[in-house]
Amino acid sequence: MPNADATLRVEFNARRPLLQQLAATLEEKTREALEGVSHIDRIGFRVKDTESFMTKAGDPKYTSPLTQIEDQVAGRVITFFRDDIQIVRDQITSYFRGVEHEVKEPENATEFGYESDHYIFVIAEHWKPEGWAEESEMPVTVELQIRTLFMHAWAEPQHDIGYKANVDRITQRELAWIAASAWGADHKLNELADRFAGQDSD
Amino acid sequence: MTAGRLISAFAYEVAPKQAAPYQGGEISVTPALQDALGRTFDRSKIADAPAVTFTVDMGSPTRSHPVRDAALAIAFDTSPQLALVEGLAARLADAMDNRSKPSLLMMSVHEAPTASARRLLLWTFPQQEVFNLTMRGGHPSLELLDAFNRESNLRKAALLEGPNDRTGMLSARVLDLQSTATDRSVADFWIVEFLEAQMQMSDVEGTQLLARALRAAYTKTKGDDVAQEELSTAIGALRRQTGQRWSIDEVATRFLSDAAATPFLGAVRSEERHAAFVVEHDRFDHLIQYRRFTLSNGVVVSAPFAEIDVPGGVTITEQSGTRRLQLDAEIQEEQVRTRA
Repeated sequence: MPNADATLRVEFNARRPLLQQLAATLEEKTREALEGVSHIDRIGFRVKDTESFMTKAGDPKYTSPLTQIEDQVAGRVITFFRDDIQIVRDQITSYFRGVEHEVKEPENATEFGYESDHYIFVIAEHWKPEGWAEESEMPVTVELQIRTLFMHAWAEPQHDIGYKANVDRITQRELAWIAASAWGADHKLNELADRFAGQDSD
Repeated sequence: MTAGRLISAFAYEVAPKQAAPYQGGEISVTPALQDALGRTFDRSKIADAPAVTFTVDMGSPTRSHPVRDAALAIAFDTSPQLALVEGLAARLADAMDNRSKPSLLMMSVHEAPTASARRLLLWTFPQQEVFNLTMRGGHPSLELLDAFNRESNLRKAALLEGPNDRTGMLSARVLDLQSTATDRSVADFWIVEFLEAQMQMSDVEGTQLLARALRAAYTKTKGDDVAQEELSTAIGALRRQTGQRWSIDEVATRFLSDAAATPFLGAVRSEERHAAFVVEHDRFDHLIQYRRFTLSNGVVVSAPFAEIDVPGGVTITEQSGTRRLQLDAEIQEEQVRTRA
């Protein structure tokens, strides 16, 4: 339905400034929630780009994409070590009101691939920028991902490469090998951090 | 915002710890009922009341929650409604304190501005004694009746709105004048026990916001002793309060005059001023920490708030229009520092 798509695109673009204000508020709030927590590499929020929103909105499961797509505003916290993820979870869930938590990892124990914590939080009324209430069908939730540097190091480039058409078998094998290497490095780095924890750094 | 066109309504009388059956059922939708509910909605200002989020099962694919699930099914009429409403009546009876009088549990379903959404209103009106004056055969007669009072300060309400999907009715606006009570069982009855929800502003966020606003106001009122004293009094009082919910607006109203309230309120966004939270004492102390005094002889005293105006701590007195500081304590450590 080209006309419906065009209307949806216009509506999404029209609300981007409000979504961007919300993203900025959430980034500030996340920094506040994680104040004093060590080993945080970065915290960031972004508004979904229009093309990506339109692609997702094409999924027939979304009957009201402007409300139902939950990562229109999404954030990411990247930690140094795996053990830091639980610390971040505890801080974040004492600050934000969550409605969903999923630990994403390959189902099969012999597979290596995408790993990340995904949270869905309700957008609190006091975070909504001025003008939000005047719009209809605004999103009610946002997404937050928590992962380590090595989880991220694999996830981001493979998102670019892995989703391309015609990825041949050898490329898939190479991606799996990189995932396994990242997983191993992540665990080893965590072990080293544990070993040296409590020792004074110069 | 108005309540919206009334679609269906239910009412049950509920007593504390009462088991089923409950007296009540579905009420016929009439213009008079629509009008009465509409006026109650408007007067309550519930559309602007504090917001809560339901404590849903975060592992459940449907975001399962006993009140939200029932509300969605009642609002969209996807299951036998009376059984669901009676389930909520049982939940209310269980949450009610034995000392409470019976209440009227009312539920009404309304159209929402978005076609795919519905609005559900939950009310409890407490039973109270009222007089009824009638004339019989030319003589006045005064009767004492029990009635459910829709204007009572003890009434509670929740407004849920949304579509029948994973994103619908995850939050509610809540009317509960007792939510700031110091008795936690009273304060928590409606939001925590019955609705199984949390205020949208977490105690952590609220405490950080409060501390930041107080610090900003303290800095901005430099030279205004009266304003700074008010801010210090507020900090001291908030440190001593236990369990009570505050909003930034309430702190300003309770403790501060205009000179201190203006910079205090100016340090937070307007949307943040009404949200309620409980002050977390340890976090608040950590964020506020010290009060710094510069004396007329150049001496600087930095004192933890916990040690001001307590026996053995820093004492502030006022003599002939000047404020004086006294302290007598053992020196445990001293440092030589440049005057930066």
